[in-house]
Amino acid sequence: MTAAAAPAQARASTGIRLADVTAEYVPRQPTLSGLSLWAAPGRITVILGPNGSGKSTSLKVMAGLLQPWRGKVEIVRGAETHDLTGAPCHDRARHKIAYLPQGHSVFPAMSVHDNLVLGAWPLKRDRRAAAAAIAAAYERYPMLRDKRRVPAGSLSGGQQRILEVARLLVADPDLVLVDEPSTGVAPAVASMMYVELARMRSEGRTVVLVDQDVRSALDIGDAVYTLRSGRNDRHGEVSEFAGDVTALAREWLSAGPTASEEKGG
Amino acid sequence: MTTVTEVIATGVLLGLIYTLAALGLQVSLGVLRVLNLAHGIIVIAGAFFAFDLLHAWHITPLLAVILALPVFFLFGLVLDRGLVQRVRRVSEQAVLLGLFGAMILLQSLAILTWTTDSRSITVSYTNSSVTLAGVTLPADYLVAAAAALVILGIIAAALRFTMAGRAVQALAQNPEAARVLGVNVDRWASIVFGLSVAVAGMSGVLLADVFPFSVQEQSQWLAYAFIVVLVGGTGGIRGALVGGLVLGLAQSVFNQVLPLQYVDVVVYGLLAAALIVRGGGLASRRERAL
Repeated sequence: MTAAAAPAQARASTGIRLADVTAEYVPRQPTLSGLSLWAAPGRITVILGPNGSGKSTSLKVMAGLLQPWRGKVEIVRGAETHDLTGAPCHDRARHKIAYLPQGHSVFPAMSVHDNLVLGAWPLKRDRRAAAAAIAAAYERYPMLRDKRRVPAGSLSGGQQRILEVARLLVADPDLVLVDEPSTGVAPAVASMMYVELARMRSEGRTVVLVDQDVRSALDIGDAVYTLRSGRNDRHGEVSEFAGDVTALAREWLSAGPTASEEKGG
Repeated sequence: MTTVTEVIATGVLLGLIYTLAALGLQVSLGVLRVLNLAHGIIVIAGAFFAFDLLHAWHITPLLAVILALPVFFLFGLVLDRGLVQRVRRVSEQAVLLGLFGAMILLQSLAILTWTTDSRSITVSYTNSSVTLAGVTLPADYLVAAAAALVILGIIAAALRFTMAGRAVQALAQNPEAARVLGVNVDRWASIVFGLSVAVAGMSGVLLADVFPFSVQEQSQWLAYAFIVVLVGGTGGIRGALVGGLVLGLAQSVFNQVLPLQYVDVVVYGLLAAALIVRGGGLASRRERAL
């Protein structure tokens, strides 16, 4: 069960649901109010919205970095539903949920190899499985093998993103939460990230993608949710949105400042 | 006549002892961003631990070092769970104040238990010396420095080669990323704090072997640890070694060239100079590497 490339049909069964979630950074100033969404197994579900609409926050709630004040976080595995509400963030890895935060998240002074070894943390009681998973990561990204002894912080921005992707795949997640993969990276790196996301889907992994880049996200996504001020706005299949993209993007751009999303509101 | 080689060798031995005596402070600061103001009193408690074990049960300091590990580790866990983790949610200043309070409380308890008298330990190798390749060195320095070197080596290897060591490095460099990968960050923070206290206690046992000590000298050991961290930074054992060796060599050299009463002035002058040179404060962000 640990090899990085388990067949899609053996896996495609994990979805995640937010049910009526209210969450806040500052007491009585909810960033999310009564948000509900469902990311179906084996698909890429895209969350879009203007700055400050709560996109990244919804992902943090799924990742367990922020506990909802009200509502539920559930993971659905085939016919089973597990309630993850209130479960600590570090438990998510055991549930085969991975989270790729915005910006850099490598351990900069540790070698590339040690970064990957930490990706195998959930497998730490099974050395052989961990070693196989790391070997598979090198197989998949040969660039990392050449740089294995180099401190991760000395890699280029794009290489660091590859390391982050490789590191999260070591634990063979069924569900991958991705926050703004294209923000602050070169266009070539951004398009590489979308290729990686499509590849994860083809391996049967479920992806939840938060993105500012509406067009790229809709190009790759299957289902879409849009948020507005921490509430549900619209949702549906990507095909239903295709015509509205330009209008939506324009509306969001004029809705507020394009600077830092989140925290404030 | 003391030769230059002897002065330098003595400085290196002192440096190794100082490195270990500062490591607890450096680790809690570098990994957890907790400035443990109770560090000095814990070091001194280690010295009294060695004294009491020797006089009550004839347990030698080298065995007491090993016994200090679980005893001080447990004490560190209690201090972390009872105080640090609780006040940490409030603010960083609250942690500082809380540990300042703990330091005052522990010092009062230590004076009640051990009084303010100065003690020293006498064992078989006290006041004897060893001559190696024409260099004569005090045996107690050699024993304590060798023990410190062994402990430092074990810690360095554990940090580098074990899964737990990698988790500690990850905690220092990016706690949120570590959490996301499945590391129980709160539990590991307690373990790290416990170990930092354990190392402080163990270093106290070794110090008792070499220097006379009293409860109120705790502030000196806290200051020495500050010097080591300021000079060497918070970037792991290598940094601590740099700081410790600079302090040890400086003291050893000044002991030869200055009247005794000026040595402390110069050593604390080193603290002031290090503070000025490193404008970034005790732990600048780019150094949180370990």
